[in-house]
Amino acid sequence: MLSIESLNSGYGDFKVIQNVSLRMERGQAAGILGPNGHGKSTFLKTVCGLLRPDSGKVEFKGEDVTGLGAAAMASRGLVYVAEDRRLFNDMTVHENLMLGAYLPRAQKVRSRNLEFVHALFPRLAERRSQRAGSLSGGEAQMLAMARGLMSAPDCIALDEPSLGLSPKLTATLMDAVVEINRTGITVLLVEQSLDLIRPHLSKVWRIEEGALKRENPAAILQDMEV
Amino acid sequence: MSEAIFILVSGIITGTVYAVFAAGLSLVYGTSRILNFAYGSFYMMAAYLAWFLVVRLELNYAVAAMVLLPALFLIGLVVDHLVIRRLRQSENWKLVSMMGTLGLALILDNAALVAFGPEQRSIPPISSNVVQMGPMFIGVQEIAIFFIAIVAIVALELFLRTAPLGQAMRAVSQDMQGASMVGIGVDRVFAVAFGLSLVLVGIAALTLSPVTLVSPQAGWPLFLKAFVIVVFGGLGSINGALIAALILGVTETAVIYYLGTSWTMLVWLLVLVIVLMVRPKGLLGVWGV
Repeated sequence: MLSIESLNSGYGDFKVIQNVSLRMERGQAAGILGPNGHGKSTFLKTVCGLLRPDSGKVEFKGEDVTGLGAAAMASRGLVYVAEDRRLFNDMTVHENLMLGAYLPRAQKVRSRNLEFVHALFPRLAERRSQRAGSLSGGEAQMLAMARGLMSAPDCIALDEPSLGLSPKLTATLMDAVVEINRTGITVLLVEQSLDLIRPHLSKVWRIEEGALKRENPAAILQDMEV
Repeated sequence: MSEAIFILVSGIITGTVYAVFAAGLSLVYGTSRILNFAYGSFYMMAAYLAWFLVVRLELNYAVAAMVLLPALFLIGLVVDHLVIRRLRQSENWKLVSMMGTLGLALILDNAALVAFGPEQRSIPPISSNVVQMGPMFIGVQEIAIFFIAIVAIVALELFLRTAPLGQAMRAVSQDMQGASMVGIGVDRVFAVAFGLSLVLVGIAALTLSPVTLVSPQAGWPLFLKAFVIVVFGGLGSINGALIAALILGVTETAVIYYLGTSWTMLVWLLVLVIVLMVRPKGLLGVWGV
């Protein structure tokens, strides 16, 4: 589904991501752990076309998509949900969702997906005619995720959805992530902590100073016992 | 009393046409954050094209509009593709695009000077009849201008609110990165916004040039006015520009009535200075200046 080979990326001369490779199979849910400022977001943004890689290769559904922009990635089914949400604040919740289904591939399944996201986040159905800019942090994150789902992704990349949210809301969102994966969508989740969702992830990596390491299973077991 | 009504009515008519013109400048700034310094020169060019169609080819207004407006849209797409897109790719794109569009303005002005000469041209009004409305007389031309402008504004609003491409345009203006994340081709939206801005320029040229005369420098006062309207209304806000245009249209008419035409530009620039001092982000501004 998604295969990344020795990816290097950063901001100008400032190299953040160094030689990162990973593979994901269709339908998998995988996580990347890492403290702040170690390149989690930079990595995800590079994979999803918001940053241009300096070198390396990104392959999606067997196609070389290295260096394509975010819109081109979305049209191939690789959708990014940003940590800072990037909602259309002056539009309503409903308008945001409809814009999520802007692409022809998403328009075809728009009503089905709308039903799905309303079932996933009933709060959004209640707030459908409210301005996106007036939502609470948790609702805004739900909308960001729901808008991403409206794009009919084959693979959704979630950039720290729990950022700034209460433990209770985080739990709600993690349940939603599991639910999303259950419908067959491949999920790549980046977080500072994956404790709530770890049993559902088939792979976990840790990113440190721009380099990726496969989390060793013993450490996972240890974490789960705590 | 009757002079106040006259100023109000006449000012609102002027303001609506200014609103159409300024909306294009605002639309391009709102989507791509590029301040198009050649906007007035495009107006001048459109006015010459209108003159050519109406006076030289003796087409009637409706036919001239049907030729002029699509042609301007295409010119907009081409200019965006050949010039604006390249300017935008620069690392210092804000400064580069300002200087680049200013250069484009000079090229257009001088091309018009070479092609049409320095003398002023005029386009006959749609009608020179006058009708009585209550205590005052009002030209059929003014009424026609007013309705054309209103139709243009309503059409623009409808397009932005309901058409998928219009929605995409609003999305880009609110969050460019968010727009690309949902699959909106941002470059295409920029190009359409630029093309549409030239259509609005064309409508302004068809309605205003019978009043203001056409000359190679004719675009600059209008560009300055549009700039003041857009800053006053809030850069990038179409609704802000509408309100600002109405206020300034009435103000301008009052200034002409009480002080004379030579005071108008001074008042416009005074408004600009005051707005920048008191409320730099304008009436409904989102980004500030």
